[in-house]
Amino acid sequence: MHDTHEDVRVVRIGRFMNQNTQVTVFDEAFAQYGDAIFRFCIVKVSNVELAEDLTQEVFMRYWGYLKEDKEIQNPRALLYTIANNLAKDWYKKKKSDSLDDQIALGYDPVEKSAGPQLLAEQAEVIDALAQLEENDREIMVLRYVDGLDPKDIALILNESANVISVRINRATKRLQTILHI
Amino acid sequence: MNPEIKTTEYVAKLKDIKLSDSSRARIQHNLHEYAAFHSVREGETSRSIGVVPNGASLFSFKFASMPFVILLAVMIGGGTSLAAQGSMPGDFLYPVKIGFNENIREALAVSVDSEAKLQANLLEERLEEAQKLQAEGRLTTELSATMATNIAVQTMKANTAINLSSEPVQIETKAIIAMVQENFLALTNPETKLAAENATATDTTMTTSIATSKMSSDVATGLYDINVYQSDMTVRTEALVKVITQHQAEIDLDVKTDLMAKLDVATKLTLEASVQTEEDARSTLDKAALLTGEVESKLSTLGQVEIDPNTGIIIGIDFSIDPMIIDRGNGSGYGVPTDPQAAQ
Repeated sequence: MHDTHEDVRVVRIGRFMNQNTQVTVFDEAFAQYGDAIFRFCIVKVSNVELAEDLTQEVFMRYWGYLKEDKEIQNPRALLYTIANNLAKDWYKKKKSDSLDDQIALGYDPVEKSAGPQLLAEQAEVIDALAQLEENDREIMVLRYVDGLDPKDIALILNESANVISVRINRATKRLQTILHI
Repeated sequence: MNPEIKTTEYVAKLKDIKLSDSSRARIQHNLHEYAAFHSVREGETSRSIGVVPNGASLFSFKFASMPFVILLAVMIGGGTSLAAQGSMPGDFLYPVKIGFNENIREALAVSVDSEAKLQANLLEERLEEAQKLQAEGRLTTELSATMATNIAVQTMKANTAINLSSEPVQIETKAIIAMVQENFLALTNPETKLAAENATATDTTMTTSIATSKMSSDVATGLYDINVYQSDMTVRTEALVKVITQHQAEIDLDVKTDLMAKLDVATKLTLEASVQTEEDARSTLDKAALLTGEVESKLSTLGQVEIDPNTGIIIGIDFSIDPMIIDRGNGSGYGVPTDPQAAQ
């Protein structure tokens, strides 16, 4: 149930590839991971439009990295890392009117921006997750939505696999409290 | 049901979230445009494309457009800047001292307080220079005017930095500024006084220096846009690789290996910065800048470097000229101040 064994190919855009081939590689990355990154961003920022913008930005940075003729061992991990870092930067800038403040004031950011992408059911989940701390939220998404191994998550979040396992447990318990399970 | 399974299933409801077709198409289109703009030409390396800013030509001091040159030039003992450190107004190397060495010290000031203190110290140094000239009877009218302008500029820089600093530092530095003003005007040379009173903001030296100091304080307060910083670093590092490669036959093998190794690390760091948070990226780029700075410093001791006046980037080097020896016309080598009249 949990593990999606996706084919994590090593990616490389050689300088001797022509532009078309390069874009194809890039397109494939977007096709394969675009939705996952989008989901991750939604959970991080609880806003669909913003999540779309962030997703775009993630792939632009990814392109920047690709064109430097580097071999990317784990493109999925890299994409998540970029997404994570961009979300962090966004949070820093948003400190003055933080999401928590907004929620406390009764403003439901998800409601405002829920488009046809989000069913009421999903919006509810996003809402619940939004009550968790940022760290917990990202762990839950990576583990239970995208089905990543703790060791892959460890890579993305730059922690040891043990720390990740512990965090997963704690986050799950906290969510249970929120959901009154 | 097991609460844990309930939770995981709950969260797994998000699995079906996808980008809508229209959003996906829109983003894909934007990504294609981006890729086309930042393309890699066949057979070339993906170098310096896109966002290098053009606007940096306010600066006539070529080094002034490299605010991030975090060189420990003086400590490393790079010939030119070491020689410059002891120079006085009117000396050949004085612009290097003000425009280059001091920019480095500014770039090293990591907090607003240390920045404020540094600017105050620099102001004191200006005063000391003037006093020394006065004592040696070398304070000509022309030099007075120059010094007056320099002091006015430095005072402005100090005031800018002070406004950002903490209160105890403000008190300390304001006292220094007042002391310098008083003492400078008290220099008995009546021409000095006149020049000080007449120094105006339309002086081109001042405009240039203000622009320089704005850039320095931008760096100090972290306003130097991170994307610009990153692309500047990319361009700078690549230019150095190019120069060294072009002249590799003329460089000692050990030296070349060392320089290229540093540039390699700097390149990697610059690349890593592109995927980090802004804060982390800034410190990663600072590390890269330190390395490229070392390379630049070393190069400038090996030969006469050629610098692009708009960007401050090293674009060439002439090994036939030994920069350690500066011909002052009196055959004495570097470090000996000359009579300012004779230098004209």
